[in-house]
Amino acid sequence: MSVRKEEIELLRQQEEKVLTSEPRKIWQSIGENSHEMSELAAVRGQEFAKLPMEALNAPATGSESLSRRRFLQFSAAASALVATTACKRRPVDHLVPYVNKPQGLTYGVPFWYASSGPSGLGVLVKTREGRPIKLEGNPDHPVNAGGLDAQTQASIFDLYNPDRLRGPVVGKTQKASDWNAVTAAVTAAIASAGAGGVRVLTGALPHPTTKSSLDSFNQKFNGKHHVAPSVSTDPFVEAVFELGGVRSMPTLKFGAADVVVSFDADFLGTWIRPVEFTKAFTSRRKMHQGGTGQNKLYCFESIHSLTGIAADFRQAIKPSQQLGILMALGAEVSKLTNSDAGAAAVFSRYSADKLSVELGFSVELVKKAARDLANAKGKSLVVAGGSGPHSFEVQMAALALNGLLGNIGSTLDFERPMVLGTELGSSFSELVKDMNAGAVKVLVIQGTNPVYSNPNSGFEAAASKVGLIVQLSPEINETSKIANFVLPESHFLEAWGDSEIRAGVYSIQQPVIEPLYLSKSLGELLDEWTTGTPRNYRDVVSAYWQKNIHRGGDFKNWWMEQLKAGAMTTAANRRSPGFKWGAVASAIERAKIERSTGPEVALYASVALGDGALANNPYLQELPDPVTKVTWGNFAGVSSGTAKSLGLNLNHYKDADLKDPKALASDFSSDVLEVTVNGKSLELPVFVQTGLADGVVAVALGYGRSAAGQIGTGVGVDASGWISGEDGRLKLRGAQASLRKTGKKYELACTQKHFNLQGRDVDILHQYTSSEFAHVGSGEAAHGSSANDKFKKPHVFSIYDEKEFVYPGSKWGMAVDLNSCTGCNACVVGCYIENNVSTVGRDEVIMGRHSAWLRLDLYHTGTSENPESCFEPMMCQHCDKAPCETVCPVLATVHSSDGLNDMSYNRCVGTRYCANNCPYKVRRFNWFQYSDKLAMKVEKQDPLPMLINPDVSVRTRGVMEKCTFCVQRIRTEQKDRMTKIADGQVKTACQQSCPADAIVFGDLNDPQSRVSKLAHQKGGFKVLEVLNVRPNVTYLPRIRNKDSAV
Amino acid sequence: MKNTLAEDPLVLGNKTYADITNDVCRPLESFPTKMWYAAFAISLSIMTMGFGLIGYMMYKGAGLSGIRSPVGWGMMIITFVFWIGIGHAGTLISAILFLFKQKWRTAINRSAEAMTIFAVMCAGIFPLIHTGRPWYSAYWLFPLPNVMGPLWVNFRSPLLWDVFAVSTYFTISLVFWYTGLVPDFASVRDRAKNWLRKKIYGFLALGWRGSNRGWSSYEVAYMILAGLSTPLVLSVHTIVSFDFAVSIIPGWHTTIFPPYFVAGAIFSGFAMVVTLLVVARVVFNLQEYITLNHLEAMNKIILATGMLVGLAYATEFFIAWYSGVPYERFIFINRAMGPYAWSYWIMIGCNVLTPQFFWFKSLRRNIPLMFVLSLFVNLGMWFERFVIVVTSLATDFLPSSWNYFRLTPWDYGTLIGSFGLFFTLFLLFCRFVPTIAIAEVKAIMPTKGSQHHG
Repeated sequence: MSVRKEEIELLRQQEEKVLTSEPRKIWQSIGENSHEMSELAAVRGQEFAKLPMEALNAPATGSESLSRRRFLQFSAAASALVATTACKRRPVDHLVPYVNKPQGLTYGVPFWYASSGPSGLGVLVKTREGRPIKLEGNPDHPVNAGGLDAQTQASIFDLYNPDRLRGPVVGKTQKASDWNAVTAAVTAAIASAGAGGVRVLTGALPHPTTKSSLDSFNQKFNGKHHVAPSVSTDPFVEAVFELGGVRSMPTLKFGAADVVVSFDADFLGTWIRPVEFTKAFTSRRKMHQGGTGQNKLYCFESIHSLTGIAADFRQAIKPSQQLGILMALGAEVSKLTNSDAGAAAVFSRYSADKLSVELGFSVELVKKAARDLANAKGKSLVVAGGSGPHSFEVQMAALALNGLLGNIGSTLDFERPMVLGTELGSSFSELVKDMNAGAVKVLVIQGTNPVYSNPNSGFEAAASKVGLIVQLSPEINETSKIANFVLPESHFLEAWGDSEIRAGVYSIQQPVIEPLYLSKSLGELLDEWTTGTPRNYRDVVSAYWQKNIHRGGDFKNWWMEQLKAGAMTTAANRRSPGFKWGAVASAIERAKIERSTGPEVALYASVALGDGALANNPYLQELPDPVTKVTWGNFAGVSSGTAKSLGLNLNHYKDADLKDPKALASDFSSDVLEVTVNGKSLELPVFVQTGLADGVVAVALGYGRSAAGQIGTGVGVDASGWISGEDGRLKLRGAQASLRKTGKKYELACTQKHFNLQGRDVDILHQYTSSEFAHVGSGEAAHGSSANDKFKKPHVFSIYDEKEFVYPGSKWGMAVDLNSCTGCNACVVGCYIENNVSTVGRDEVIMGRHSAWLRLDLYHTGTSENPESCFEPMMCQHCDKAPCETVCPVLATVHSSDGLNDMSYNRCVGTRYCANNCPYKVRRFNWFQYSDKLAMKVEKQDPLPMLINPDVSVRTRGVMEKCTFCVQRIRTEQKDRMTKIADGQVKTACQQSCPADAIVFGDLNDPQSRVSKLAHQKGGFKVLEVLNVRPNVTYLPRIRNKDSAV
Repeated sequence: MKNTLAEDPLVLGNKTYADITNDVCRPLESFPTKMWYAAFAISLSIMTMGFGLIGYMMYKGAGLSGIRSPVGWGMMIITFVFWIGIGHAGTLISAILFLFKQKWRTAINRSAEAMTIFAVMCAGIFPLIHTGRPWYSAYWLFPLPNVMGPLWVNFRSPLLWDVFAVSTYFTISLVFWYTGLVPDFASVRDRAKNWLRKKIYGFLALGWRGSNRGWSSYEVAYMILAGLSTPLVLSVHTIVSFDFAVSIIPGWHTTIFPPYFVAGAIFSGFAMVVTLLVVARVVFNLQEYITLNHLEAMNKIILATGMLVGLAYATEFFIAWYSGVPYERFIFINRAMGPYAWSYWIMIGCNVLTPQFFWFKSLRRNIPLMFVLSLFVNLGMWFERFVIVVTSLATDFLPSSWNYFRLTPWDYGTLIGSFGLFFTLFLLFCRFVPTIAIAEVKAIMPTKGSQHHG
């Protein structure tokens, strides 16, 4: 209506204008005489409009057309321009759109699937346009509850690893074969194998359906299942079997324990199932949930582990002392309590003081631990690990001590035990024996690499006596050379399966992508060989679930629900065994507790690589060892005392003593030691580290792979030859070592080179003992003003009279609880994968150019042998007054209206001024075109680009990058800048996977958000607050429970 | 010497005006010596190598340099500041000494100004190539209209101030130098026997006829340009020092930097002038124009500015202690006693101890000694920037990030290459441009019967 009205009005006005203008003209239309029309009149009759240039130069007559010369000039210029733009040859790319868009799919919106990882932990898989790009912990899984370890997160790389097998190959020659040939050969061999001639060797198999397929395979062909020993499992189950008569691994309830004593069991790092233990253990370290009730951890250990760093009290020991100290502790406890006479009798014949003299250890801490344990009966936990010289006796003694303390049934839960997946197979040594005897005709190997990890077992030699060896493996590895066929194994994101990692806790492993290659899972393969026809393994899994797990009702709906939830729990149905302690005493008597002089070797599975199966993963190779920060290789860790006694040049280890903060190193190359154990010598670079007793040589396993692929081959030194013992009783520690300085030098790639706080605690890292913390005032105002607070809040002010910027809507911030953080590195890998962070390789790490957006700083205080260490996750602090922003000449880094320090890569010219001016040194520069290659050495080939998170720019050479607080996640949730986002709706990648729940992210403008509350928490501090750059990450202090009564 | 009140003549050898023109123009008009060719060949090769390295670095990435986290600036910024500092002596000699009517400057101002321009050219390369993406920084650092929306440069960033300061400095220096050259180009033109030479120098002389009016305008223009250049002597290095002083890094964040940098710049600049002229006066036979008196005067300035620099070092240390800031204290103690102590003591040795020889007149007038000492000063001033840039960054707030910085062969190559560029340009200058301001020297000739009094 109104438009019409306006039109009429316009016409009327024009009409009036024409009628009143002088002199009157004859007009043909109403518009003709109006002002606008005069221009039209000027060009009327010209068919072609003038070129703009021409129009500029042309005289006002308007009669000329484009001249020949002008035309030639223009066309020459145009062709020159075209030629220039065509200078770069661009590869032809085809965008293939969906012909029929799948229902419910929106481009750019991810699908999430619940599944379970290779170790059985519940995962959520993020897929974008059909390709998985990120793994996160499933918050609904009762065991890991959202946490996920570094390895599982990095395992998404293995899906796209270009080294993957694309079809079956002949193992010895690695020539391509095909499935038909394999199936024919295997079927024929199995048929003629006879009873006991078929064997299946696997790693841990906590996968019920696969296990059932394996069982039916073995049943049909009279086969046998063997489990390869793992370096991270101790003879815990054997000890339970010996004393209690059942093969069961109790669930260790760290969350219910007030006092935990660990003897070399790195349960927060590598021992058995660190994610589960970290989750439970750190639930007792949330001092912001009241400030009391923090557990107390004693740690006696021969390497410096994450558990030792989390400990309130720690004592470095030699592996040979382990059993003695455990007995001394038991003896002390038995003096204070004798509720279980049988168990007390095991220990009462020993005397702590006598043992301490005999073995040469300090007894004070043992006595202190004993008092605390005795005060926490039924609410304590003693764990032992490390596979020392008396690992079996140690497990029995630890179990007896738990029995004495009344922990069995409370913190050791046998009713719903852990499922390790190793309990049910026959032993590896039995297999080797049978192979040597020629009894094994067909051997199927999956999930283990015995040629590499058990070189002393005689497996490789025995393999020649086996008729047919079939290896199912994602990649060629050391074992492939003895296999007749190597079959491509499906990644867990490509295959159906399930897992049960705690009795009665099941989850489905559902594929999220079609197998990229002609691969199969173990279950599929065995099922096909058993039934003779390839079946959809989903049907096998669902049939198993229907039969064994489903309890009435409509199965289809129930099954869909389980797929969605990712985990379900059935009723607990096992009984606690009755333990008889009689056997312990005699076993320990036999073990002989003796003092050993000479250096001892302590082998361990590293936090990043574990036993080395994942060595071909650049994310894990570049993941710093949490304690030494060494990447891309292993080393011989020795104490500074040992180093001095060996005459090693301490130039580059000046700070290892933590005594002289000014002793900065300028040369980081290490001496190379020749270490000889059991007659086998290896040359290893030395790392003089904290936390080791004199005379201990700590060496990580999992390195020195000879056939691991393009990334993993030849990184580090293979120390697996030093492993002795067999099956569940591998001996990793305590063997006598002789050390010799070779005079060679080697530089290790460390991401952190200085671990001394330099007395800067007040600005950088607040650590309290529990009684010191009691003096801290609560609330932001009170904090620091309390006269007794150890750390004074700095008086910061600006000399300018500034107006505060008020953030409309949200203002993002983070809180990091240093008391919970164990330094497990899960967040670091999560950040790498989420944000397309490049791995840069060993040489670049040596240069100090690793590009982690989030790093775990580690600082030691105290003595070198038993330091008090603390991790400090360090990422961009998104300062309100960010010093990086003012110095960038091109405004490539600016502040957003919701408090983020944004980085626009496109604008960055790479002056690096921002990185210089960042007091936290969290900015990372692309010194080379890192994104083109893996670790600067392997060209990124298909299908690797599929791993890239499309929400995050891939950075080019010459630009700066840094933590963005996962801005892509915020913007995905936010429809516009003013949208209110519910607390917890956006989780950063580091926060999501943290098994310790140490990172909280959220809106600081919302006083009810978790992060706001934590920001005003008692004892909370900002790093380098004194600079007044106003960081938005609050750190909650580390509290050592040194003096509170239990 | 006999009459202490009388000044020594500024030009020796009882020269006539014609002698001066002949002497100064000779290198331009005769065939170059073998020595010149040899020197030029060496310089040119070094320069070519330098540019080759720079080219490859642009192709591969900034990572070829030794810079690493947390030392984000290394050889390139050090050398940038070094060359900018070198340039300062030229401007000081030509502008400030002109305004103060220091007549002795006339013999050396031409070459000193040339040195300034070449040094700024050398300097100007480094901030560009040190960036990660030089192909963008070459023009994104200028406030040019662009298609990226309302995207402007950051006027708060000292690096941007640098861009303006250095480009202004270069422009003014060039114009100033050229203005002074016009009458001399005219002299060369007038002496030219060959047609091409006449054309080229005629073009460069801008039609100079030596008329009264011409001279009058020239004098005014020269005075104005001298006036314009004078604040630049102070401002350029002040602004360069802001790159550091405006940051929050301990060892950088300090208010003493502007005067400290300016003093250091003049110090190093004069040392470079001495280095060059000691050689040039012999090679081009100009001993009678660039006399021992000139060299001694410059040595006095080296002594004075060297003392200033020493005072600055001491003040820094004192303030670091007096401020009570632990980070500052640490940085300074670490400089002197930490892993970089070697560079610190090279700096102190070369910059504070070396000039002390110049307290003695006999040493001030000892040419081999002053040549060696001037080289030491140049070395020391490069290390001063090394100490400032590297030690502050390597060990700042969080010990977890500390690292040790090392130069790579690429760094050394590019650094040496910049000297190649400098000497190539300087040799071309000696060959094609009158190295002494003919007209100005003539004005300060001792005239018969009356000593010239300033």
